[in-house]
Amino acid sequence: MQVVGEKILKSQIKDQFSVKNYLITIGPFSVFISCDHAHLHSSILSLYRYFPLTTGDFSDFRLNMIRPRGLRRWIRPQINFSVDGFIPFKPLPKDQGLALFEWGLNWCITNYCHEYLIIHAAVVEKNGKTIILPAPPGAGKSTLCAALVCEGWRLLSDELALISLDSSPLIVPLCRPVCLKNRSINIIKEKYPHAEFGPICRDTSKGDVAHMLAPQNSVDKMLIYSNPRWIVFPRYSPASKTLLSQRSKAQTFFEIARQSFNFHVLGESGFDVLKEIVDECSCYDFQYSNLNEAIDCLNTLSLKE
Amino acid sequence: MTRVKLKSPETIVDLLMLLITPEIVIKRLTKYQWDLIVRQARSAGMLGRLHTILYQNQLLDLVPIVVIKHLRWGKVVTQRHTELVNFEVAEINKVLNPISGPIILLKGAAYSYCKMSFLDGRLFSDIDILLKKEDIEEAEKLLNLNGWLATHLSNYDQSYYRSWMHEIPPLKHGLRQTELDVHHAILPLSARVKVDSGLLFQKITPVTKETSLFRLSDNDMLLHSMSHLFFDGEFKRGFRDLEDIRSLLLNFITSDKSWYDLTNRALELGLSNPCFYALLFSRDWYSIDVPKSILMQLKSDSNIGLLRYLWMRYLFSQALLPLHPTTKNSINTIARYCLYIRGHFLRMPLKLLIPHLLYKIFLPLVDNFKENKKISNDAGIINILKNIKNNH
Repeated sequence: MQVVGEKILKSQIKDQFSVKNYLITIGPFSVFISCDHAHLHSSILSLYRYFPLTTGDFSDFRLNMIRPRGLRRWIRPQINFSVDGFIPFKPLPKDQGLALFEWGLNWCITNYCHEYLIIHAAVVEKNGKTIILPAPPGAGKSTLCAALVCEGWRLLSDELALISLDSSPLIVPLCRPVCLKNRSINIIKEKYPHAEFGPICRDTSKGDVAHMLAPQNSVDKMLIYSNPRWIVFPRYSPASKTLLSQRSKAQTFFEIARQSFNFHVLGESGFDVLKEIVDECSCYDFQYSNLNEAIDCLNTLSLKE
Repeated sequence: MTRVKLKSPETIVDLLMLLITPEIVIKRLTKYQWDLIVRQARSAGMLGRLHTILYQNQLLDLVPIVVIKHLRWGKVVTQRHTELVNFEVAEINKVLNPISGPIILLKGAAYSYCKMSFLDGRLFSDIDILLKKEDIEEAEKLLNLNGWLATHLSNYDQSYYRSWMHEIPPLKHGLRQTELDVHHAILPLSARVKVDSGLLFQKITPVTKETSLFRLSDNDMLLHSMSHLFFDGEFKRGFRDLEDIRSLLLNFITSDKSWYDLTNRALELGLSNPCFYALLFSRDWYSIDVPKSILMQLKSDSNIGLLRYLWMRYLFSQALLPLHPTTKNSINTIARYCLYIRGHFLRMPLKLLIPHLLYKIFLPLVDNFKENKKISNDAGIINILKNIKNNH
């Protein structure tokens, strides 16, 4: 099987603006990417360099990262994300193309894939124990997730947790890059110099954004589904103690439902699965300011029965 | 089976054939063809519909695993829509209980609430009901009191809807965000073609014995759907709407006599023109066996000359394609635009249309001006108050 990384080595970027197509397997999806901007196209590939490159006539999503027609093709060039001719977002400056691509793929998954309950959460696993980390933006979920992954946890998901709609629900890994914002980028880069990063997109609507690659051993295991054991709501709060405290199941249920992307679409089946998962898991609030202590705390948790 | 010559466009031939004769086509589709079908069906909002059609023909087992999940995703959404629509209709029925006249469910609400399973798997955009004109005022009050609030608040929009449209300004439920259109006719009051609502009310059928909910008669349902597609200027969902018409035809037209009844009713309501085009495209795209004499009859009833016929047929054949990159080009964009203008032209005479368009263009400016003036007036009052305070 070929992986994306090998392809990058082979493709010397000669023709700047020809359209290039790739079919990459990302978690349970096959994603066909068409891009007419050589620089962006190579950064997308390098972000997904450990993922399998496939061939075939059928793909789940056909994503186009194409430069718009008209003036903005050449003057302060922009890039458009479209899926089957539909453009869900306004075009962005071409330097933010990578962030746009990631948001676009998120959009496709959350809008179409209703065979999963999709929640806004990171998911990591160690010693066969899986933690769901749901949190609103700004709670430090991605930073914690990136640090845990660098400490040897398996990455299942950073942004979207896919929960299968079975009677004993499983987490379906996506293994996409971890999206870090603003100060977190340097915190992780300094703490883990070996972590692999994509280019930084400056001044996006969420500030500076950079993506940490999913480690190869996580990607290799992306077809292995896993059973969640804990739901932990992380909250970074400056100068606070590291504190893991019990959270009621009812509160957990409502908070996750509120942060779900398709709870309202799934109706009863979504309710049942969420109930099942909250029943099965131990639920905690997790406050931290010191990343090392936070990691230790969750490591201890992973060793507990 | 005799092979009917298809005049359908080549770009969507696989999708059409799968809808028409799924049992034959499904066995020979390659992954590549499925890929195109899924993407075109998604653009047309028909993934759930496709799932239903294959399910009803017991063909789901023959769909490749990678494809079936897309159809299921679509089905989940349409199933939820159906649940929500049925819930809202029951609510509306309760709220409007005090009014004396019948409540008639139109389009999607009727298909879903009347359990017309041959139309399962549709997406809904809003709920439409038809009431007697004398009931409208009370109904609006009752709906307002129960959380359905007007969405078009400007004075101009309010008076425009009330004087010229076939409905009151659209309502939206404050908590559940469902949209509701309350009609007293099926075409705008200012439209060139006027359909006497009284004629529609004569033939309504009750949905159940317990409720005061009704639907239009089979033929009127068809004609409403046809006039909506071929008189309105909006073709975003044209492909899907044509499929609705085709499914209604397959289920309502049971004998040769049904064709004559439909044509006669079309003439009576003044809807021969949209009926003609709807049957023409149902025949050409969906191989519906429309008798030639019926088409001739409708064509002469609606006085369509040869040139106009060729021109309109061309425009519709472009505009009805799904909005997908494989079918979209500059020609059908222009065609959609032409039909959009035609839609407006049919909706109101020029002496109304031109002021309306001018108003729509300049209204934001006028509003802005008024707003500024109001702010400066307020500022003036505040200054006066301040002065009074300082003086004391």
